[in-house]
Amino acid sequence: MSKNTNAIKDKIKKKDSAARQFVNQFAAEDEERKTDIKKNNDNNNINNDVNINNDIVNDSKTDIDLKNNNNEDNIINTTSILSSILDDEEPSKEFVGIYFDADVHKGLNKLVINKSRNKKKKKGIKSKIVNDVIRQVLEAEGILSKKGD
Amino acid sequence: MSVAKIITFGISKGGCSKSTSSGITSFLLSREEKVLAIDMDSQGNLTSFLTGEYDICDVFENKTVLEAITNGDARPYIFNVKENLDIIPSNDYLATLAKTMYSNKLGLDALEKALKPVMDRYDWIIIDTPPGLYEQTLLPLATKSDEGSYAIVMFDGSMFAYYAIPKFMEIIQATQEAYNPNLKTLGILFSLIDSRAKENEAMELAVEEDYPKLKFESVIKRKATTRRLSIEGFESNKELDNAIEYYVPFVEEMKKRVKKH
Ligand SMILES: Nc1ncnc2c1ncn2[C@@H]1O[C@H](COP(=O)(O)OP(=O)(O)O)[C@@H](O)[C@H]1O
Ligand SMILES: [Mg+2]
Repeated sequence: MSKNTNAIKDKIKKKDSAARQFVNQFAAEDEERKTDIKKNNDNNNINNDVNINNDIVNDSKTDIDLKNNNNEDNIINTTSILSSILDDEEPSKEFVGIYFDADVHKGLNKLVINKSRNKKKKKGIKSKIVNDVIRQVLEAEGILSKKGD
Repeated sequence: MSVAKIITFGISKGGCSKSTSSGITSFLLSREEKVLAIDMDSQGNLTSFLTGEYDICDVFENKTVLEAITNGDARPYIFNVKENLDIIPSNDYLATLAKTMYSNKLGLDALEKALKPVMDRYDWIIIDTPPGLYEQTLLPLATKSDEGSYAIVMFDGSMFAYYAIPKFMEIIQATQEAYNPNLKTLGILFSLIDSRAKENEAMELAVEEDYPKLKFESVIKRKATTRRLSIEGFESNKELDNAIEYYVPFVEEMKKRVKKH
């Protein structure tokens, strides 16, 4: 990239522009579409790809067929995160743009598709998952106090 | 096998000579090389400008870039204008692009997919866009080419256009990051410049300060003959040379910049 482009970029990067939000929204949808197509192509494999223990199945009252594969190295308890998707409380929201590693983003989209299947309220699940993972980390670090405390 | 270089003319403001400039550039390039012009504005000004057809709604019904994108193949929607110059037209229905893309689950690579079968038939693909942040602008910028894809920012020397430059730059930058890593801003073209306007020099300085070295040296001045070109057309037009006078050095400069990249 030329110096020139970089200078312009710095100028541009100062704010999260409407353009960036608009384009990124497309990029996210594209990624989901690709994941969706892949999912339809190998429908049988997808559940094995997602590594979540099966408590969530009862918890979220869906008929998602997940493999019971409890990874002890997990720092984060996926059960409570994913079950909290059904929480009723709605704190105020803020929109931010975040760069994910490509594989993490793909994985997240897969997870969202799995979790939102058969669910009436599909909107906001992705944000909910990411938000609640970060919330757990922040609670563990003592930066946020535990919900309900 | 060589493929077409893509040049998208844009700015987030109307009336900055996008259609006129993309049209004359297509015409000049086609004197020596093979050119495909694409109209991405539902106003269809480039379509009318190059084909001389003003009843675009009827004449090109279901034969536009909208159908090319929806069907994923541009070939049936290419019209020959003259030797070495083809166009994919647009008309009013292109306004439904966002909705059509959504219901057909099309991504921002939809134009790229439609153009794939014809990329090796042309040396240049020249695209006119509407002013503003729409799919019509994003699709061309997201279209990759092995020979390079470029954006040209149109600027008419006005205060409104000055503030529209960074907006279009942001669109370019965001599209480059998310879709087309090789997309480059080829330059800022000053057009419709009034020789007598005293603020010209200040505008030049301001643009040079904000975007060093991006301004094309060639400047397109306001000319009655250029304006009349949309009435007289390119064929057997006695004032043609006069009308496109300022564009001749611009197109040479543009080709040089493309070569350098
Ligand atoms: N160099 C020029 N001299 C005189 N008139 C021009 C020139 N370039 C464009 N025009 C006229 O200015 C108006 C706006 O140009 P147009 O190409 O339609 O801009 P845009 O596509 O950016 O909206 C048109 O009426 C066009 O004929
Ligand atoms: Mg126009």
